[in-house]
Amino acid sequence: MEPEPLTLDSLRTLARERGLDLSDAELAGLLPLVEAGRGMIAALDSALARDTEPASHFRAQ
Amino acid sequence: MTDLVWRSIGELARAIATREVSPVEVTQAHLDRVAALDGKMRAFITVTADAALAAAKAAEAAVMAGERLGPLHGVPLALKDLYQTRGVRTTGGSRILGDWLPEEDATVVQRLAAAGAVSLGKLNMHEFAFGPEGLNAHYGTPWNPWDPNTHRICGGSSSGSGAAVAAALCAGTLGSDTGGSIRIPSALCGITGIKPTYGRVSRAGVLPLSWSMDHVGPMCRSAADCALMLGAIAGRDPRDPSTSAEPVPDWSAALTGDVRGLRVGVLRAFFLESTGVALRQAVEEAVRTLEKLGAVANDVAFAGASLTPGASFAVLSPEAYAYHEDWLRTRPQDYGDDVRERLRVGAFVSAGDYLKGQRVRGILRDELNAAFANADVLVCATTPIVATPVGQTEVTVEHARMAVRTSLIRYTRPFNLTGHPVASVPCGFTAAGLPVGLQIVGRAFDEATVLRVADAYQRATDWHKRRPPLDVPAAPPA
Repeated sequence: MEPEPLTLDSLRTLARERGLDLSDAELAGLLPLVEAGRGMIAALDSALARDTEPASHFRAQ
Repeated sequence: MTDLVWRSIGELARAIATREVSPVEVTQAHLDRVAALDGKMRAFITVTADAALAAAKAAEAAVMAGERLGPLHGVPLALKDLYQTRGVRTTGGSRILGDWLPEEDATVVQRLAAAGAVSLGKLNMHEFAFGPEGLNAHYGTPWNPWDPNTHRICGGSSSGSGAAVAAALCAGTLGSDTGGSIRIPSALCGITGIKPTYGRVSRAGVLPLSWSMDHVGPMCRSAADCALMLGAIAGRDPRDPSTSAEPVPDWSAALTGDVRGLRVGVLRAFFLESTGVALRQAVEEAVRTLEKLGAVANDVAFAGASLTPGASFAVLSPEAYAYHEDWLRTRPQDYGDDVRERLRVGAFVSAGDYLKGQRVRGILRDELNAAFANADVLVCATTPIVATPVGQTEVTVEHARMAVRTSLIRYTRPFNLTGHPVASVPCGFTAAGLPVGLQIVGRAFDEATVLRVADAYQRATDWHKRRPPLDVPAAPPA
């Protein structure tokens, strides 16, 4: 499923939630990179079945 | 003295053990070459000349005393500057750790010392290993030895390692590989490197980029030397719970030169697309060479490789962000612009997206394991392009514009997700004299076959023996 497009304002909000106080210029530089990443991740959906487990697991020993 | 620096690790170890040459003589020859060339090359961040000579003298005394010698006794090596070295600054190629003196050696540093190696110092790299070009704004970007006239990238992130080995500033190095950082500089600098299976070599004491995708491995001038170095560092380590208890074989003994009947799967779909003509031809010629040696080549598909960009982004970005989160909040100005920006992107990857990447990893691993039902090794290009000038950000390959960064990691990154062992060996040169690399991929924990194929190929070719034009004065400007 394609993610909702991000805006500078929504990215600013997300950044602040994560403790990052970024300038408008910094946010503008990040926006296309974050959007591209979200698009690439969205493309993974078609490969996944509901019961596909992650490759990494905790080991007790 | 020039002859000494071009000898292989195996030749040096034998010559030292038989007292043909002294470790002090060998170490001094390499230090002299570093002094002569590294002002331009920028391969080293820190040269530990005094400590190296002291270690070489101790190694010489051990030889003269008839002590039992390790497989790397007296051989001068160097370390990518993300391996913790006790009392020797370990910068990670960063300003943030510019003055850090670790209190403990990384496990692999301890193991190299136990094998008798002499460390010449710490090698340059892309800041915190986060970049396939090997750029460095803080310590200067290493110069690719194959073009004395144009400042070209060495590939990264182990750029100083690639330059140092190619220019014979050291006999071998340790690199690290999260998306191709051993194999890319090996290809662009015309040397041989191996990313072993995930879990084969300890990451304890190694600055992380992405805990679940980082691999430690050697970069040398031949597969035989890689076998020697890998043998010295591999094996279970209580300090790194991700290491495997899988037995460590004698990889040097596996180098029989015989690949008759071996099944070579050629990855053409995806892995030869968007690849320059000269590179495609070099790879195809390498396949023909293996066939002449008795191997049987067939096409093999790895369709899941097209999922690599998304899966890699989903896993690597948040893992890198998690490690750097505190510094990104408190010292953002101390990062280089490119690395700071890419690290920050990881803040916006959700836990669900991270797990999506880890779930796809399992699919890719299973598909690749299945491909090995029809092949003993797989081969493909290491990179779609050769070394570009520093500062160039895009390339045109087969009429398509691509980002240099994206292009460099296209064929290497899939195997960081799957964890399979992969070597890169030189398989030709472009008309401009720039080296081309071939990847040889093996089954999990079957480095023996990867190295056997790489070594057999190098017995039949001389690409790995060629020397960059470093000792020739640069041509005057036109």
